[in-house]
Amino acid sequence: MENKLTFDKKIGNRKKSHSISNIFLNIFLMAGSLITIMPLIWMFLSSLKTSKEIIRMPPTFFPTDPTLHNFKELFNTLPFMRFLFNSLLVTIISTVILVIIAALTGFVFAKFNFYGKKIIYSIILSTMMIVDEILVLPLYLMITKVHLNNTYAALIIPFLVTGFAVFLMRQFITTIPNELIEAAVIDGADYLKIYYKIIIPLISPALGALAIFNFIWMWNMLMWPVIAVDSEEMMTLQVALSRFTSMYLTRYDLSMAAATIATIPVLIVYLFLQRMFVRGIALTGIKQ
Amino acid sequence: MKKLKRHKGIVLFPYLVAYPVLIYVMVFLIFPILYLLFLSLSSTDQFSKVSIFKGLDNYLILLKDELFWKAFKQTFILTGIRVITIVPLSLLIAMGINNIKNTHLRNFYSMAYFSPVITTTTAIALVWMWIYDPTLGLANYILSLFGIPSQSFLLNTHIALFSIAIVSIWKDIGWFMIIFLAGLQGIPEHLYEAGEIDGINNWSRFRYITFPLLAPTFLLIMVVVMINSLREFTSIFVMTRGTISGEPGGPVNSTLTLSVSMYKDAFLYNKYGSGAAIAIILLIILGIFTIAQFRLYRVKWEY
Repeated sequence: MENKLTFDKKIGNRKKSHSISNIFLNIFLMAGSLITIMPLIWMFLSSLKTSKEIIRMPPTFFPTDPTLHNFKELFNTLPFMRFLFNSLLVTIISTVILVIIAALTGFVFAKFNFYGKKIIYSIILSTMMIVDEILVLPLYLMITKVHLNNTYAALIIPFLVTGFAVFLMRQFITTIPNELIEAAVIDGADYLKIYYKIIIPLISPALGALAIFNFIWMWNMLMWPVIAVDSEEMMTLQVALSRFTSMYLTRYDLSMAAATIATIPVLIVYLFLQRMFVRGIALTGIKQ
Repeated sequence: MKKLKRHKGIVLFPYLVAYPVLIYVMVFLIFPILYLLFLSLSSTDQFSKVSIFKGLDNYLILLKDELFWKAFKQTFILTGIRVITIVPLSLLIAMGINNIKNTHLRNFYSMAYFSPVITTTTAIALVWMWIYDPTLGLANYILSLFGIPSQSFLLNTHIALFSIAIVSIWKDIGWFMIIFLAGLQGIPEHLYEAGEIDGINNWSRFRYITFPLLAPTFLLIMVVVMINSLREFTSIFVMTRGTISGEPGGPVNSTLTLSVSMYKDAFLYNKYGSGAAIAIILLIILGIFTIAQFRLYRVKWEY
């Protein structure tokens, strides 16, 4: 009896100290999350401020007189629509193609035997250590040779297959039971049909994750477009943004509006695919 | 794993997929590396674009070049700062969030820490350039509230690299936090319950239950942070080129890293040979880490 009592008391103490540590935990997490999220809220709010308000000291947090003037000025003085269009086009096309090819290649390496399989797979895997910072110089000289500077082709074609994408897809497709595929073969389905009727639906979470990562990665890409493109009408949003500060040295009202525009597409993708996104990181843990 | 049974003679399908992909990889990934290797061993005339074989000259010149060593050192300083901050902080935050029982609060925290990840790097660079502005910036305003004299952050050669490191740390913590969180949630609850009955304290709980089970994730994250830090380009490029000096890696090369240095040599000074040699050196460093990363993936998959 006494034994049980002390035991209960112990648990009671534990709970009490637990709730105190819980308060500390929340304070710590809340402070951290405010520090993390504040610059972004600052960016959004400031994009709505006038050029006068933006240089006021002490700074205001909420815009006293919210206006969309900065966005208007941006779209009027620069072909911002064009930048946005270029970025979206390059990002979407390359991501769609990459995902289709990666899943197809992953399928083949997971479920078939063929001549040269091992060596081809090791070649593909070995490219995982090749990052775009290393490729840009030879790629630049290659596209110059075939006169592809300032084209969408130059921005898209070099990024359609990555070792990681193939590796990831193969890992997931390997877990699909062979019986499923064999049954479909007996039913007379050809492999392409099996690919999009069986494989694609079964690996859709991994496929979604890969698509999101590639979207973000292509959207954020800066070094290659800076090099491959120099005419204004072919610039991506990132290139335009990277030149922004040298063009409008301290027009922070405009630069906040530009930064906001560049963030919105990724934000939309994220809000739509939030679940997939977080699960995808958990599944793969990648960062390209 | 057993492969599919063959039904009729040779199946063409895998050949029609694998071989074109192989050709693509050869043209866009393998050939450029060989080309890069060739460039690094030659010197290219700017005007005629003719390359002359020079052996290891470019490498030897680089190894004697103080600027190269400066970039090399700064690359590893940046990498070091990022690893020792990002890894423990993201683990700590993940463990904190994992302990929050209230779902709304939990979602809010995850969302908040994750928000910089979904913000474009160039946009982040623009925001922080303003925050760091010596006269109009928020950072100096906040410092002035505490009576600290104003700093010139990105324009000060002593603190420019640290100022950029802070931005990149701030941006990346959320990403690794999510990976840790997933790892934590994969730890079976009954292990903690067993510990609870044995009456172990929080530290032993972490030391003997959480950490051993999280070790593969921990190592993987460390390597990934290193790889990303070694490659860091966008934030440095945007934040330094936009300042008054207008020079990537500035002021006075105080934020020069290997990737920025490669870019400048190859594309601003048209020294292809030197740029290529830096790229090859970077490739070797990254290669070592990537092999480590790949080994760890395998461990993770098995676990």
